Amino acid sequence: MSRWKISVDKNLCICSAMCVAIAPDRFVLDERQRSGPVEAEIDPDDEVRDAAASCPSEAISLVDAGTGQPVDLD
Amino acid sequence: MDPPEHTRLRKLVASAFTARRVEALRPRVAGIVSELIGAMAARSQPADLVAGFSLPLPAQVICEMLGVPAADTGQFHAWSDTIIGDWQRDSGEIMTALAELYGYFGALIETKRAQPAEDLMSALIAARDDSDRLSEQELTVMCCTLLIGGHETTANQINLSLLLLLDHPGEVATLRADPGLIPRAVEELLRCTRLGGLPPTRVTTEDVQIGGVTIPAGEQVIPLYGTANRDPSVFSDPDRFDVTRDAASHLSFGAGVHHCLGAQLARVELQEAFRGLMGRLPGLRLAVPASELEFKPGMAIHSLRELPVLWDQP
Repeated sequence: MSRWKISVDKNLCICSAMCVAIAPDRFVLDERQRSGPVEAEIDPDDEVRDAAASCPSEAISLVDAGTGQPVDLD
Repeated sequence: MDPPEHTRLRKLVASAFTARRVEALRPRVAGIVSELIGAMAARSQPADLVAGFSLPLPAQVICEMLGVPAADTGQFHAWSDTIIGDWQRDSGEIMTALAELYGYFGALIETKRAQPAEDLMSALIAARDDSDRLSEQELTVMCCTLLIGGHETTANQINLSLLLLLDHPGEVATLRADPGLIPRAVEELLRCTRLGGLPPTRVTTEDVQIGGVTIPAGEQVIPLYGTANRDPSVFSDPDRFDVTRDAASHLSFGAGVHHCLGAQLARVELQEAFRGLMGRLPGLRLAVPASELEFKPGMAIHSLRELPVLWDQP
């Protein structure tokens, strides 16, 4: 199965920390409380999908590393 | 409420309120705006914008999202008015209204449990029954919170925004000439209006350093969002109302873990509301002097009783 690339747009991040709460092993807050991925490329993970779908500012983007297409969040 | 309880509950509803999901509701929001303005225009002037537009718009949207019968909205207005409308109201009356609201949702939850539908209440009931992710009481409180939270807030943000706009005819002309500025104007309106009365108190969970001062753990803090929204280091010439400025970094929806869950929904409602009001009611103006407008004596929200308006008949 294809891997996923995670990125967080720090300009969109509003520090709600939903992602860290949902997938604590996958996201980490920096010194300004903005989120970022622990690892930029991962095996598919439902918690990460859940975190991306729940981000209030939609700052998390999740892309199929093989195809470059966005991962379906539903 | 703090993490982890807050996170567990917020996660259950967060995905329904993301920009992507809410954007899908935009055509329906625009449809409700159109229906309400059409109904107002068909009646005689002056019209009360609170009863005819600003209250029914968010009420109808949140009712449809939750799956609450729109016919019951009159009853919610009465309960919500009793609960937050007047800080001097007898606490017994407030408790009675709360009990009635909880009772109403308790009964509706049972109805939906028997007959689930494609709505947020049914999804929350499934989260309760299928995977035990919230208690029965949390389920009821969540429904009440979503209903009340998405209702007087947006309604009065429409009212206060319109009052501010009508005080600045030049900005109205700018918006009418270029409706593409409406999303930007909505952020500036959120920045410049003061929807909240007394902001919710926060309690520090650890020592916090801010502006060279240490606030010890366990202290109560009242964040003055309205003042932050006029921080000259963030917004140049902060007291100037300018619908063309980029005001998106305002704090009117709060920040961090308690950032308003319904922010994106409120934005879509406000944008469609002003697109409709500006586009369909030329010459929209107050029917009484602004000084005669009456606010409810509640402390949570600056809530107008009535907003009588006139416009030019086409």
